[in-house]
Amino acid sequence: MWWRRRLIVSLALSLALNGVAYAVSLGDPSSSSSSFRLDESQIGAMGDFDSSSASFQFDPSADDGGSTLGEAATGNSSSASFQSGAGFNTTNSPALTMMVNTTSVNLGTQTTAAAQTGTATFWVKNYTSYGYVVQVVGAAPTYAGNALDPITTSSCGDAWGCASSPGSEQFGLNLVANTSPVSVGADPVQDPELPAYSFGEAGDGTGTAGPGGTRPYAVPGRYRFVSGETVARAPKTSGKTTYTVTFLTNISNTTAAGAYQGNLSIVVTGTY
Amino acid sequence: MRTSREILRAHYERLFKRLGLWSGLTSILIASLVAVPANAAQLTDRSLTLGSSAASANTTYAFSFEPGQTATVGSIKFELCTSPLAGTCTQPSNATMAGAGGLSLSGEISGFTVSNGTNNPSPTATTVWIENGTPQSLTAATASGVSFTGIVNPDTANYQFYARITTYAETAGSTQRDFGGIAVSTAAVMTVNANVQESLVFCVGATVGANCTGIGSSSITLAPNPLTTAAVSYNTAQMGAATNAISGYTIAYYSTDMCISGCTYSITKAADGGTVAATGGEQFGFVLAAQSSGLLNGQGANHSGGTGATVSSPYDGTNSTIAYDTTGPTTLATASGPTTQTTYTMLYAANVSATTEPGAYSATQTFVATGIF
Repeated sequence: MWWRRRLIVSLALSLALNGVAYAVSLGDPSSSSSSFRLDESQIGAMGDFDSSSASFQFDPSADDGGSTLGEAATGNSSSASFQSGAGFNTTNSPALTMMVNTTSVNLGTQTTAAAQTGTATFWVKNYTSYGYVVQVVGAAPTYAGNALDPITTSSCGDAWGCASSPGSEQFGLNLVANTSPVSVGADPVQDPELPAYSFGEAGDGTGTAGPGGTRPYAVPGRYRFVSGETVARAPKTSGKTTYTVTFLTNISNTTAAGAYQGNLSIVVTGTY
Repeated sequence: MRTSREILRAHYERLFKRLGLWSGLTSILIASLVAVPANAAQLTDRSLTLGSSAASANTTYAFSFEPGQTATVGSIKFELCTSPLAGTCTQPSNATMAGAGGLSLSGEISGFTVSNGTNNPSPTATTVWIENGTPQSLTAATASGVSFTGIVNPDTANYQFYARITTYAETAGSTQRDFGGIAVSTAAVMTVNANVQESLVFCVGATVGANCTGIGSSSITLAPNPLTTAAVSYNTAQMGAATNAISGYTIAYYSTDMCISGCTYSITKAADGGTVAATGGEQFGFVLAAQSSGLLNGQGANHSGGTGATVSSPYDGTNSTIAYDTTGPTTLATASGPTTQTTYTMLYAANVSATTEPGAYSATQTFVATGIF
């Protein structure tokens, strides 16, 4: 009947206007203007990750004979000053994951004749960031209020650390592979599955790392400890980097006898 | 002339048209009147540095951020949540900001205080507000820092959680300015252990070298020998002591009389408290200091080397006062803490009278060093 057609037309018009109003009110929170910003918006071929219903499952695949629409692009690309992550398993949320693998390091019985060393490992993964820094916070091993002398710039005049000196009281660390006083430690290891997209490095980014370098905590055979200093970093979003901390101790004749213990906290700060 | 049917038809057509039009217009109005989130910008260069990443640590949280837009800010909300996204904030594993205090501001931001429930809520487990009675204009891309003490980390190690920062225009936060989320993580604490064994090095001899090497004879003879009534006879011996005992050491001695024939006859010992050396009468004793006056002037030596060493009275006299105690152990010297070798010089002296029985007199001393670990 005519009035039914009119009713249907009116309701359709109403629904259309509602839809427009709703779209207007929602807007698009992840696209921007002025300088233009695109944040996790999907452009290009549609796709979905393991979506399914009772009747079908939708798995993006390049070789499925056209049964899926696939992803427009996947993986990670980067340059010195730019990095992007593409794919349906990326996230627009900041992410920081870390794990301390070694919670106890035993440096054994100390002697004035030779240094003692030990290692511990931890890893960091940081996403959607402008990088991170790693700090070691805490006190050198201490007994009855007496802490083993931490190695600082004043210990030997070098800001990048001092060499082992048996017979002198020392406590220090670094995050590189060493041959002095013994072969101990390891350089940072990037994610073996995505080594090109992991950028963690030892030290605070100043000076140069490596043998003969000047970067604190990043020169083989040189050890330092100042609580709260940056011992490792990544300059941008970084996949998993595994760090090995090498600890060094030496004692003197007057290092008070006792069982020394130090609790060190690994603090990772990402910038987003 | 229209029929009643035509009239009713036209009437209902108009009604349906109006219904459709007003429904659409109403929808648009409702959508327009619904609170639409302000065009908030994102805080940039934002970070959160923990004073400690240990689980359950009560520590300092230092936030740093740069506004995404230049605008007046009257209040800022800091949250700890299980998600970085705006919306419901779930407390992450018993982390709490309820004890937040010790507010410290740096960079551009100034004049803010922790909210106390008047304009914004007091600190809760998930939220801390700060506010400024006179909203401050914060410049885009200019750093500000806000830190709190008394924040408790989640009680799980290696745990990822999130902080959120939201700025508002008013002192009583209502109109959102900027927003940003930060990922944070606790970490297991590394414990580093090292053992230092106890050490006490002690030696006695006519002379002792560094590190108790080159130890001389364990027997000394006073000179001039034989003893005379005209002059004092004397000689020196040494002992060395070093330790890493945290509370140092004590040195004490046991002695026999200076005597002969199974101590049937003895040279009268000096008093326990000291006797000034003088010829013409029987005396035997010793001192551990350089003498600057009296009969033994110029003899002996002060202790040397090490740190924190002290010679006990009356063995520290410098006016030729000698002492001797046979009731030992008698404390001779102490050190207050770990020390390299201190070398002590014992100056022995004896005088005789005209009636002192003749014979080869001797005395035996045993020194004991005790480390206090």
